Amino acid sequence: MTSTPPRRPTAADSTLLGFAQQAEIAARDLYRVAAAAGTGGEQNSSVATLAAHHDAASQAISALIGRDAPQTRLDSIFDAYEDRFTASTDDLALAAHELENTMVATHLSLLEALEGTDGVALVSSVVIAEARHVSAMAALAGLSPVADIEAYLDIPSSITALSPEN
Amino acid sequence: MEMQNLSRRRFLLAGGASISLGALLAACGGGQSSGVARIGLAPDPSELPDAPVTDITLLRTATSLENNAIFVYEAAAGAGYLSGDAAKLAARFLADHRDHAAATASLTEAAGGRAFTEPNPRLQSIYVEPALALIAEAADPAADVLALAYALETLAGATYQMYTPMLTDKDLRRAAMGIGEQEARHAATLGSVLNPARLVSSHGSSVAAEYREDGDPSPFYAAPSAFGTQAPVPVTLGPVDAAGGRTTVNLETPYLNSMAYEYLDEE
Repeated sequence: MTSTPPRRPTAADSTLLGFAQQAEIAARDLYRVAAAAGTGGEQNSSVATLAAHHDAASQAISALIGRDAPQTRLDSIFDAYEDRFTASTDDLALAAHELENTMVATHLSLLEALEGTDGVALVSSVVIAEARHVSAMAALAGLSPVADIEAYLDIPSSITALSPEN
Repeated sequence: MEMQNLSRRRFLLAGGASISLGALLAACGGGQSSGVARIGLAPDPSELPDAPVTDITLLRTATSLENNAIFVYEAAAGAGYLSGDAAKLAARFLADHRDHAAATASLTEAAGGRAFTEPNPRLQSIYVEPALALIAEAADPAADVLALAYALETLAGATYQMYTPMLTDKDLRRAAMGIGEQEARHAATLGSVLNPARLVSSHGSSVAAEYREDGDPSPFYAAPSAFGTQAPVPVTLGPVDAAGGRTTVNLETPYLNSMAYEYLDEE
């Protein structure tokens, strides 16, 4: 018999959501430096708005877990992508495409682990938004929505979900 | 004052007589029904079936929504509304929805339920059929099919988003959102085709003035918002009417009044 799950995040949930917040802050900062550097060409405003989207996700997690929110970025992610986010629009688009796929994979793996349904609802909502980011970045990279449709729709097998353990 | 009391007493007496006459007529009514409504003749009240929202209900409803999408793409293909790259894209999405329907049906059976194999009847009657009728009269059916597809894919993503926290079996969450995020990508791909000039909407986001869009938001974006929506998804379709307007259909996620409850199989 399945028991009713709790609504509020458990202590273990807060740890996982705190990690997710750090990843969101890293993504926010990457888009911020890209926007400030002028990358994205005619879509520079879209790039700046993606920073706002990740900031909103970070703040929503903060609102959910309160003082448990670390409010710091995952430096390993920021450092791994910073150069590509500021090099050129094509480099940015492909790097962001990879990053957003990684974010989606990370959040999907969280859904299996979270206990509280408030956290599940929030992460599900973020998954929808960030899955759409992937397709947006495929378009920014100039990939064809027909010939390169997998880049729009599928998580590549090379993508690994982030986790607090790795 | 006295007159008023008297009048009221007489009224009550007259009313009592009327009620008694009604009861007498009802008692003399016998077993035959003329079908005409009259005092003492009332249909037996029927109990609403017990309809708990279980994991099986959610999975069956997800399958029913996939079947709505399949119906739309098959109808559009059958009518020849789309050609070239748009037709290829629609064919891929149709194949994905068939896969999703098979997956949610399989999950339903694994959870001990019976898979729902038809389009969601309520969504079919209030959204899909009216929308397709409007498209048949549209000046540019291809544009309207893509607009409807964008809205339907957005709705499908929103439905999985809504249902995932309602699933009591944690193991189902990833499978559900794995499908939901692909629906969202369908919508985003269409958004990038329909509005390539602005991939990410700034409306509703906290961005500096220099990055904000001017004017009203477009109906289409690859990435319209920071979170998945739970709001109705509007889509404008069909011919221009006499007043110069077109019909807007607001699609809403299937909820308590439109789920594919198991008791529907018995009807």
